[in-house]
Amino acid sequence: MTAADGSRCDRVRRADVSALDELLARHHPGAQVLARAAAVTESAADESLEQAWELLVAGIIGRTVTDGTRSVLLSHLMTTLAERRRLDPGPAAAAPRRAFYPPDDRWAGWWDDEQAPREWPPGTTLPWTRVARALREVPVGLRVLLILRDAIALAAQEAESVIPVPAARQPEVLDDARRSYVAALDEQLTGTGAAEGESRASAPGSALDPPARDGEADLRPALRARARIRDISCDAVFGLVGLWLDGSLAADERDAYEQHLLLCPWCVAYVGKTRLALAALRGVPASAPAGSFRRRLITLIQPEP
Amino acid sequence: MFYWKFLRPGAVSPFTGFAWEPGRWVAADSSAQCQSGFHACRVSDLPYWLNAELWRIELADPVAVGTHKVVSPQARVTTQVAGWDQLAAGAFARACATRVLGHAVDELSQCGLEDMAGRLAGAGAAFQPAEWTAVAGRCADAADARGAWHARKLCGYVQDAAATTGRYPAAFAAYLAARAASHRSSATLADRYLDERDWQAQWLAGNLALG
Repeated sequence: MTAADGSRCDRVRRADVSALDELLARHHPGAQVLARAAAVTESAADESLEQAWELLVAGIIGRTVTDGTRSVLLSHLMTTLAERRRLDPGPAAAAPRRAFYPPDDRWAGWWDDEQAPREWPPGTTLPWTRVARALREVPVGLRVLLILRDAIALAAQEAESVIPVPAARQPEVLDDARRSYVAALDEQLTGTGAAEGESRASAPGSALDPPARDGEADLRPALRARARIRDISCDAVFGLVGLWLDGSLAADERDAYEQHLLLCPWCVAYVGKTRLALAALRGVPASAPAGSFRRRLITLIQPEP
Repeated sequence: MFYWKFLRPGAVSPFTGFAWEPGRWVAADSSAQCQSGFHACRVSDLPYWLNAELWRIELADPVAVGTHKVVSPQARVTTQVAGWDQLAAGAFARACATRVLGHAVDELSQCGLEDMAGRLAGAGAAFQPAEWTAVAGRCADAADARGAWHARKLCGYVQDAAATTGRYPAAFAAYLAARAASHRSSATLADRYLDERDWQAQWLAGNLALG
């Protein structure tokens, strides 16, 4: 919890409504995005979010919330959604489909011309309705991590306190999430998304554990194993796009990645789509908490005599 | 010290989107755009970073040497190399494609398919994609029948060059030539990939009078 949030909690305990409003202003929008992305319906999202706030405020008053106000709120939200079976599990499991040339081809690992990504139409915009529809095509465990890390911009350690994905494992899970999300948008916009990624779901009602990978190894050692910056293929670029956009690749890895982008229009198209898709997550509008809900929270901190 | 830098149209950095103002010094700061300093090319680095515009760039000391690049915390672009335009990029790409064909011709000769090598060499007199594709296809079949795996592969690269030259970025043509070179069967040179890149660098330096 930031020092400012700690101060706000102290003020809430002293029944300061303005402090409550400050906490709402800071944390409600992000939590609302997560709620609406994870819940089966908008009403289930709003109800669960209000319950999460009530739990948080009760914890602040009862002094059981001593740090991490934002992550406590989000954690309450996910617990409420899961316990009340309001989580939207996502689509049924599907076999992964690859669009790269097979290992015995001279262009092994490069995009298959027939299925290579094409750019989205010029001027493509991604309003929330389109983003929400694409998110529904992502398994819920991946979807939640995507929202936590890319929409709300939680650090890995903070996200780990909300969803059971260890920080060390989050880069690969986040990559899977981003790929599924972009593939779903592609399907909407061009009808070709299915060839670019995979869409597997946890079974309905299961925990938020993300789906296991299909044996695909971490591509970073493979990238480094290539003695020179020469043979990085499209499948490596595809798998590392999140790390590149995050600025997490080492210098030599980044050089190899960028040199590939200079010569591969298909990878440029895919990376461009991913960048646009992730920016859309950060631009999701949020609505203010309902007046009645705010008044309920106020009665928690200012109990009627 | 002066070096070279490839940029997108309008003197824009390809990945950060930074817009350079010719003549104005810029210092790397803690922003995400400039954390590691400004990258530039020596002549030998040029083939790896091909893009729409080529600029002369001045770097302030200290200049660190990296793999296929140099890096400095302060830089300014000065003048654009007028000779590097779409026409030049096209000529470069065709030159690289011809190199691919040359490697295939040499490989066919080495495996005893001199007749096919001669036909492919004849087709290489001018860049004609349809003819290259057809002749290389026949050469590939002959190499296949001979069990000449490298020659078969290189004929495939000739067909790839025919299909992509003029349609893909010049950087792809350069990469394709280096990749083809690295698949030669001969081990007479330490690293044919780097040797091909050196040839590309000399082509650029000579044709653009980079001094």
